[in-house]
Amino acid sequence: MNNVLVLTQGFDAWKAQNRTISRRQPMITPSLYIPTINHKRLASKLTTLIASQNPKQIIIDTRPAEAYSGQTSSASRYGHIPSAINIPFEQNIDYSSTELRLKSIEQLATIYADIPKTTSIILYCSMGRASSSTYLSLRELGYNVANYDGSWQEWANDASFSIANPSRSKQGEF
Amino acid sequence: MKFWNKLSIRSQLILLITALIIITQTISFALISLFDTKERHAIAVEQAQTMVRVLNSDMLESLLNPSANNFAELSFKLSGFQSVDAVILVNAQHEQIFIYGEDEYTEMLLNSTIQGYEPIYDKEHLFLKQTVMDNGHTFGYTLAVLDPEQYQTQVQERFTTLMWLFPIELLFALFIAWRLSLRYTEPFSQLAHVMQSNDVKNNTFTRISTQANNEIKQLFNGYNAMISQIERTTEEMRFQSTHDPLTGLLNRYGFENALELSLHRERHHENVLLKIDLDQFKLINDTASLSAGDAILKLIAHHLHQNLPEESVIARLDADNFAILITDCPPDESKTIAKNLLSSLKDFRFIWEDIPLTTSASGGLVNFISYEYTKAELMKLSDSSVAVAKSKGRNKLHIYHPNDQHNQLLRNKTTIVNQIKEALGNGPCQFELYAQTIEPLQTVSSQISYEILLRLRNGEGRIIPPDSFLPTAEQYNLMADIDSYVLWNFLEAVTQHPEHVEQLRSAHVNLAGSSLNHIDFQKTLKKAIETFDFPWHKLEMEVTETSAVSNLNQASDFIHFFRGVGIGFALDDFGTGMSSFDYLKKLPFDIIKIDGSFVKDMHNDPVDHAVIRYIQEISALKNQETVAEYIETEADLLALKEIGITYGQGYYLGKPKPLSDWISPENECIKPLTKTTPTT
Repeated sequence: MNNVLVLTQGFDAWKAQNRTISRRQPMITPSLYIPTINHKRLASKLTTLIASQNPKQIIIDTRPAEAYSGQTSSASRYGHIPSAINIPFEQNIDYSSTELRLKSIEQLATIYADIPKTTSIILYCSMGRASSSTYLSLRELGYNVANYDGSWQEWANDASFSIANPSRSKQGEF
Repeated sequence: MKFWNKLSIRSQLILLITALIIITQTISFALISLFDTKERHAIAVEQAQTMVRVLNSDMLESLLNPSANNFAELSFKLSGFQSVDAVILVNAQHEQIFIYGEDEYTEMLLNSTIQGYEPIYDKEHLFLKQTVMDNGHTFGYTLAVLDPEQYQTQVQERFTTLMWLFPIELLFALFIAWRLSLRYTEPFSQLAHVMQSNDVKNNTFTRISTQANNEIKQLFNGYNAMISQIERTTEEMRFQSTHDPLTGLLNRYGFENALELSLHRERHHENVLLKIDLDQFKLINDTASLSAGDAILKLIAHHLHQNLPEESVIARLDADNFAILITDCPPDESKTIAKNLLSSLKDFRFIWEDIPLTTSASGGLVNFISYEYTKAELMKLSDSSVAVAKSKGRNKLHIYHPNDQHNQLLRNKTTIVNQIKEALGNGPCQFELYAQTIEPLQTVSSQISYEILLRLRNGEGRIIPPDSFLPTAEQYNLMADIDSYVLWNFLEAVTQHPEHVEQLRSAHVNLAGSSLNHIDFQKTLKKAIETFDFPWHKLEMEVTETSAVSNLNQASDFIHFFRGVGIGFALDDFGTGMSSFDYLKKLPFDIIKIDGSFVKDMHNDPVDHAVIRYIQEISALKNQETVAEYIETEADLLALKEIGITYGQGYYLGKPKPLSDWISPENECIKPLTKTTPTT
């Protein structure tokens, strides 16, 4: 799949700007799709585990600070992946208008200024959706970044994987 | 080395090539083996690296999440690498996390001193340490032990093929070596064969040729050149060994070979062997010079060639002896040839530095047919025939007959020598002294003069004339002994009779020229002078003209000595030799004895008469007295008296008679002079 573009603003902003809207249902012809997965862009539990032990790599937890600190969790355990830092995905979003949109490149660059571009980065969130905004932002900024789509959901639910802040776990709470 | 040198060139070549092949093959095998080991090691290292690369994520997983499940998966994956015997996974804290493999190998690995990341080899195993990393970060490392022998290399396959091929190669090489050796030893075999086929004895050599244009050609050319040189030299030596260098005629050896051949021809071939001995050739050498003698010999050789039948074999045996062999020549023809030859030699005239020289020769002739005599017999017969001819005088030919009296005597030369030695010693043969009167022709004297003569009486009492034993005595160097004997016995006999000595005017004693120079004779004479009381001026020594010429100069000191005591000196047989009248002037003679041959012919030959007269005149001028020999008639006596000759000697004047008769003719009881009583 080539030539895929992602809008920096949502559909509401598109409508508000009175841009053309189509109501037609697109006719999709099934094709024989053979996926090519770039392991540099898509992290697995193993590669994330490896990165968590590699001081040259950075894992960014994009969940809100409460989740990172272990106050909330979408999984069975509370806390975060060892060695991960917390930059919540909301920081990428411009909330100044009703129509949400990604912050400008300059703004984004300011946010991630402390992170060296040579470092390979793995992102995760609760389920792999929220971290996508950070993924796109960082790609725009030119970082070597991969998204761990298994996310906290997968990691926290595998008891054999260690987590940070284990004391704050709320066992039994789902 | 001895053994090696014994081997033929071919064997050496084959062995060398075989050795060379084995050595190169061994080196090849060693190199291949070395490469093989290196390749195995490289493969092992690569395998190990591949393994770590492939299993990197699994190892990382096992390192970071060391769960049984992960270890089980890793073990399963490692088992896929057959050459990997053991693996130990170590984390960043150097804690061993995981061990794979049999105890034997893991222990080996644990005990190994592997430090860096360079592979270590022991005999059969390769030890390798490799990091486990991701994104530039090291999470730990693996230690692995591998068995390189597990790998199938291409080299090994080739090695096996080569091993199979090796005996075939060797056989092929041997075959090539054998073919090559055949080709390259061929010239040597050829040369060896040719050399063996050479007949050195007959001087026939085979040449050798080659198509090659290299060292072989040089060798062959060198050989051919050498052979030619040998042939030439052999031919020269053969010629030299069979020829006389002076005259170019055959020498004794060459002649005897030719004679040998003629002796073994089929029967009924009449051959003739003629020996020629120049008369008084020594005199030419002495009077003229050795070169004159050589020149004459050359001329005579040429003369013989010119005057003899073409098929004659002519040789110079030694100094002045020539031998001629004529095959297919009947006796009457041979006699003519020999006579003509001797006659032509007598007419031979030769002038050397203004001195006219003449010569003559004596010949001994033996007619023979094949197988009649041996070579040695023939040579001996011809020698004695010449001797007989010589004894008859000069320019004589003697033809051998099987019942030849002279030859019988001469054949027994050794008998004669023995008889002489007996006579000089204790008998039974004896010498007897005779004396023949020498009469004054111009005056009448009551005194007596005589010449002492020698007779040999053999064991059977028979008298042997001097001409039968003196030549032999001369030949065997017995003359000094004989002369000493005669002188001593004469003096001993006469000094016992002073009245006889008183009556004696002069006694002539013959002396061989050689005795003059003989130390024994000189001693005897000196001792005689000390021993005997004899009026030495009454003693005259007679030396023949021919022996005088060659000996007088050398003996001058001795002559001076005995002339000092008064002993006189007579020249015997004057006129027969080659000497000129010059000698009469120069030599210190008191008396000249004219050779009998002049006296014998003087009535018929006016030349002879004139010669006698001439000698007399010269002698008179020099105050020398003369003696004429061979006076056999009154006419002789009168003629010589008329010429003025001082003394005469001969049968007409008196025959020789025993000395004892002279000393005391009246006394029948005179003591014998010799050890047994002579009967006269």
